[in-house]
Amino acid sequence: MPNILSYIFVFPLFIALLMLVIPAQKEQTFRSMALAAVSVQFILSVLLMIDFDQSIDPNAWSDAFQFVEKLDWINLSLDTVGNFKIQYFLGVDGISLPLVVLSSFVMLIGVISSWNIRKKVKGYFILYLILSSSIMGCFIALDFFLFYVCFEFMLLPMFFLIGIWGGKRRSYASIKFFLYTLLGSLFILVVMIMLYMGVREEGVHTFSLVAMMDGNYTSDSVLGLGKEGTILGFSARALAFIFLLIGFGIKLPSVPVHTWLPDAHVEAPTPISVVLAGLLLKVGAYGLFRILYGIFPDVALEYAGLVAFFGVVSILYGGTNALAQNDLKRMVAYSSVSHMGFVLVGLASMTSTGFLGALFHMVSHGLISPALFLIAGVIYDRTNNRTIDCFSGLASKMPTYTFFVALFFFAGLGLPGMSGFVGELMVLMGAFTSNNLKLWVGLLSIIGIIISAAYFLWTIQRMFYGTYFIRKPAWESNMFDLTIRERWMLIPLAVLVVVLGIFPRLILDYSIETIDFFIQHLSKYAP
Amino acid sequence: MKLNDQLHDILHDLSFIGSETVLVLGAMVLLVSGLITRNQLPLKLIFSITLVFSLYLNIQVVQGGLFLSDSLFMNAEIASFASLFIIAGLSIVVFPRKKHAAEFYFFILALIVGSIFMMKANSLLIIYLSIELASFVSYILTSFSFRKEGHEAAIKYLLFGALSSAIMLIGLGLIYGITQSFYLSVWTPELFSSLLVQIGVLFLVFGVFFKCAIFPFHMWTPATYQSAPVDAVALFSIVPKLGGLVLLKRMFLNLAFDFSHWLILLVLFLGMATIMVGTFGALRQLNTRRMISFGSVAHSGFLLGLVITPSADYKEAFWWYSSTYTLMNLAAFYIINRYEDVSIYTNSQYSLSKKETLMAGGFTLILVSLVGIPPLAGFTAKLFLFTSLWETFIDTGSKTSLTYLLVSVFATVASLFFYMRIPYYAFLHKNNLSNSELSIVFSPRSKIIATIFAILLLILFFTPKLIMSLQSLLNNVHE
Repeated sequence: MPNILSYIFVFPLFIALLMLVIPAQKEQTFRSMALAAVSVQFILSVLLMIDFDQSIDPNAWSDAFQFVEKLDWINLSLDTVGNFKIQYFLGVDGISLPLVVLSSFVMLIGVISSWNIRKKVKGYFILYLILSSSIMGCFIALDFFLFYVCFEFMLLPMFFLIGIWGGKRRSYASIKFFLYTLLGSLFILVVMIMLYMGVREEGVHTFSLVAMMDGNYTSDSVLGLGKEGTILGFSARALAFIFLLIGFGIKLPSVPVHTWLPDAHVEAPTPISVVLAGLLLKVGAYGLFRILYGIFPDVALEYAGLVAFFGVVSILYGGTNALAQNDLKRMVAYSSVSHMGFVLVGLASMTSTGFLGALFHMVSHGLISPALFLIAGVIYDRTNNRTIDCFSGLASKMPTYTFFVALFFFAGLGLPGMSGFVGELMVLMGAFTSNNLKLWVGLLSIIGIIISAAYFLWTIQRMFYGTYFIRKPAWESNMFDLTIRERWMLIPLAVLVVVLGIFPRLILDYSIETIDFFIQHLSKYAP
Repeated sequence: MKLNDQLHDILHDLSFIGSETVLVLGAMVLLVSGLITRNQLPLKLIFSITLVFSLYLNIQVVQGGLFLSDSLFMNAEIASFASLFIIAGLSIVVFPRKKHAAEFYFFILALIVGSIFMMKANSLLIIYLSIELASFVSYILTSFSFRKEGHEAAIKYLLFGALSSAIMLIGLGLIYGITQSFYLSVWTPELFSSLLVQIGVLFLVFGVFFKCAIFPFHMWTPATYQSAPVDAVALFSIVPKLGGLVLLKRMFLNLAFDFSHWLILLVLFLGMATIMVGTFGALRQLNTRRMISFGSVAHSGFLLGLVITPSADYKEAFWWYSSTYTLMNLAAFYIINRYEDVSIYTNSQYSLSKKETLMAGGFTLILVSLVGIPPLAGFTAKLFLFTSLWETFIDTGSKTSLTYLLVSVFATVASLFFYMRIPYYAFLHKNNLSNSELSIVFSPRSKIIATIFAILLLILFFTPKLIMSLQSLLNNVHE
């Protein structure tokens, strides 16, 4: 199917435009249209997965990508900066393909979860579909400018989705989210300009990520390898690396710039929490993979300890914070911070096991964390409350619910046989075998896993075991087990979590060649 | 030279100021017709015809260089900016104007003439006269709202203006005393080697800063923007400001100071201060117009960066920023005007219009464009600004340029705080009002105009080429 990536990218946006002209009273139409849009997106990305050639073993980034689409988009002649050339340049490789499929899948779950949104349905689904397109755009864009546009354009829909449909402190949370992410993306913008001025393809400045990853620097570029001279006390490459680390670190989020996440999660409506945890955090992680490590491998080697340090701090700090939470959603939010720390550790190891582990962990967390937020949403829908203290012994009343909670909590704490285990194991293996990292990185990360076991198990014990108790008698009438719709959201996630835990090659086979090449590419810069 | 030849030369050169002549004649016709009719429609028509004709004449000019005994100067950039001013003037007819239409449009035409001469001036006297023309018109227009606050703001504006024009006169005197010439075109770096004449230049620059609202000469903006009629404010924030910046750019090109010259460093420092003052000043504002006015002060700072940096020898980035800025400001003030029509003045009052999603949505897009977030034209403008500053840093190794870049980046983040306040109130804020109090409606006409503005900003992001071709469309000058 030609131009399949464009269809995946543009289709939801097109449906969103169509929705604009439909009168706002037809709420059911909007739900069905949104469902149709993301279903088509999902089917197309499954087709993409089937057509993807796993055996391509690239020699340079320029031949690593498949389904490439390249068109001139903006071609301005500016005397100042030569030709200003921006391309509509799409493609997927082993790193982005799993994320593309994950993204369309989570968006689909999100639409089902949005079924009982009653307020301003039209606006909600239009924003949701715009969000869907821009997240997808981030994963498939190979032009930095296009990537940046999609990266920034997630903010506005997200701002309104949290701010209008969110909980009590929604406006505070949405503005905090917006500010943090905008700050991060402006750091990225500065590096984008630096790279644009320093990289040429066929004699013209280019935004092409491929050319940037292949290192086609001009001779006068400050970003060229081994250039002398410092800015603010750093070499230009190190400065760019730090800027990008801050930019994507905010999105990831890594401690100490994670504070927007718990607020955004707690205030966001359930489906938006699902998308936020499942996908937006992955966009940050993908940025680290593609841009930070893809373009600045030499600095990454030098700064591996720093990245690992932030990773370990995120794991431990996020974990201990989760332990202290009394709000179920806040607990899950902090567990996300902790889990994203593993991605940083995996990247810092700069081994192929570590990279594969980090990527696998992203996919696995992209399935587990939406499920955890759906679980928190279930109890919140019934009681308008999700304080852990308010419930006890739910297992007797809601057995199916308890089954799913236990399943996803165990997946979250990394029980063997579930997807969470594979990712964490590979990251740790990478960390222990890496030449760049000291032993403490791996050891402290293991402590992080123990902490995660503690908070998940403790929550199960407090909420589901023991004698049945709910804080307010008025809730009693609502304490029914999962509805059909809720089951339909949780079952696919549960199946995938278990299948990927038993058979991780389902994802790894797609990525292994690309990651191997990536590591070869990195090893060129080893001292 | 014989008198006959001189007259012949003058007659020939008059064709270069055809467009200004038409503006002045049109202004007179307007004033006379104001005696005959008070109806706004025929007056708007005369105003528009004058501007269209003047635009036509402006585009007809094909030859650049000095003319009229070297007192004026013309090049492609000036011609296209003049066209931009005329178009901006033309677009304020979409603002409703019920009272004093004849006098109002008369002064608007005078403002445009003053600003165009400001850009074209080659003689120190013309600089002074044109700045005074634009300033006096502005003082009068400020009090055109005929409210107490308007008169107060006008007097404040006048006092600041008098002070800065006095400073500028000292500067002109110093420059003339040392260079023995009125003409910018004879300026060479050697002539300006002594400190005294450099101080003269600084004073002259201060006079222009007053028109461009650069710190510390921005004091008049909040009060003026708050109290003057909206259509006048829309033009104040565009026409004299850009005119002054084009003049500054020409002056600095002629001076050819080294990038590390103290004068350049001082100007850059003031530019950064302008960005900071504008951004942080806006944070505390409750009144929407005051907030936007501080925002436009910050934008002056951004534009100044494009004017002073050496890579600004090339005109694209400056043109891009100026024309999108023009569009954004016209759009913002138009929507503010519509809201004020239903008596919404402060940011928090926007929560009254919850039902009007289209209007508030359009305003949100325009404000987001003012922050500079894709996919809106404001982002491309910021991108060009950052690129030019980075390029300057690479070319000259100047740390100041890098600092300017970082200040601009942080100001962009901080500007989100205040620009998003309106969407915050319009969409997110909970108000305890009954439905009857929320029944604010806008006419379909204003909704359509607001939508067109917002769509234009989107289109310009996706096809930035349009703005570049607009520039070549707006002038025929070959240099």
